[in-house]
Amino acid sequence: MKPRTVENTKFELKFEIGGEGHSFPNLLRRTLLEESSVEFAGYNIPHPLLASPIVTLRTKRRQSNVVLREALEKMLARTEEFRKKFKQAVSDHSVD
Amino acid sequence: MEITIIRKQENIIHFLAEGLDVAFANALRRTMLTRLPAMAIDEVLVLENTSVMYDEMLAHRMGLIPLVTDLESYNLPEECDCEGKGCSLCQCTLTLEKQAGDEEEMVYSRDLSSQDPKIVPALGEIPLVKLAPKQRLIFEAYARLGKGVENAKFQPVSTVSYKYVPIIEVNKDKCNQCGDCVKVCPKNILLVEGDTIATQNTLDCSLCEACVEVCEPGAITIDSKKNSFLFKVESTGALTPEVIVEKSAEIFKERIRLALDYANSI
Repeated sequence: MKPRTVENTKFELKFEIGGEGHSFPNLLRRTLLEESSVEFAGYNIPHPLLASPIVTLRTKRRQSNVVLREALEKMLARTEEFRKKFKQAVSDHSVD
Repeated sequence: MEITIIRKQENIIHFLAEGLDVAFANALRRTMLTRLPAMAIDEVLVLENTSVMYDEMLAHRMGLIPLVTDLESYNLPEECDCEGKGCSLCQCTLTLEKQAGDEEEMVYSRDLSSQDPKIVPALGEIPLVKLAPKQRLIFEAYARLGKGVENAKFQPVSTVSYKYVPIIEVNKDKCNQCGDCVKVCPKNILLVEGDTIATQNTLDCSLCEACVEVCEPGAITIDSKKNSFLFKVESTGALTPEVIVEKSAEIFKERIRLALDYANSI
């Protein structure tokens, strides 16, 4: 995970994530699209061997980096929720 | 989000996760496959090999043996203080010395003796090579932590998959109890009960729709629940399946945190 900015304006953000595959940018894209102020969110892997997806985000009304931050916080909260619930489910299961 | 464990065996866990996105389920699956470190033999020093198998073939076979992994006491070589040169914190030595007697003898993975009692082959009965009488094998193997992205031998999971939760519906009015669907179902989910078709163990349904195809009156419909997934995680024996799921969630969180650091910096 080595993010690097390619383009950064108020409503448009383009960044490359070195060393990632599809798992991370795909989830990020889906999470970004949940937000109504997102006009466009997508990612592109220029070459399958390079493993550096380029995420593009275009927003309206709200600043793109703020939207990105919110989406990542949402992802973090969900993953943590999953981890906690899974742990709980495992300990509940061994009881019975 | 709701998670229920359906079945838990020593090396397999089946669980139902409700209220999550496909992208999340897939990210988790991919993380388990490629980002979770596990031990595997990476370098082999062949001191003597008079068997019929070439050194490199033998080394390849050794690499594929799943080793019980201890994530707490070993570092990834790239994160180790020794800078990947190989020290006791990121490397474990296993040795094998065997000579066949007057009869041919099979060498198994259990014949490997490890320097660390915790890092041992997950299965002892994996055949490595068959030695003819008097043939000898002496080698030293170095195991290290690695990730699935690098080489599939480092994967701690053999299968990790998810499927949609099946919904099987039988229309009583259309059903003529011909029983064709019962015969065709590969998972034995359908059975004739009274004047209609009943279902059992619906979670086992593979959504093949063979029953829908064979059902003349069109009484059966197979649908799937959205945002609910049935996960199956099968470990190679390197780590327990619960640890695999939990650790990969942690690893994924760590990656999101790194991205968040970046988002905060712009």
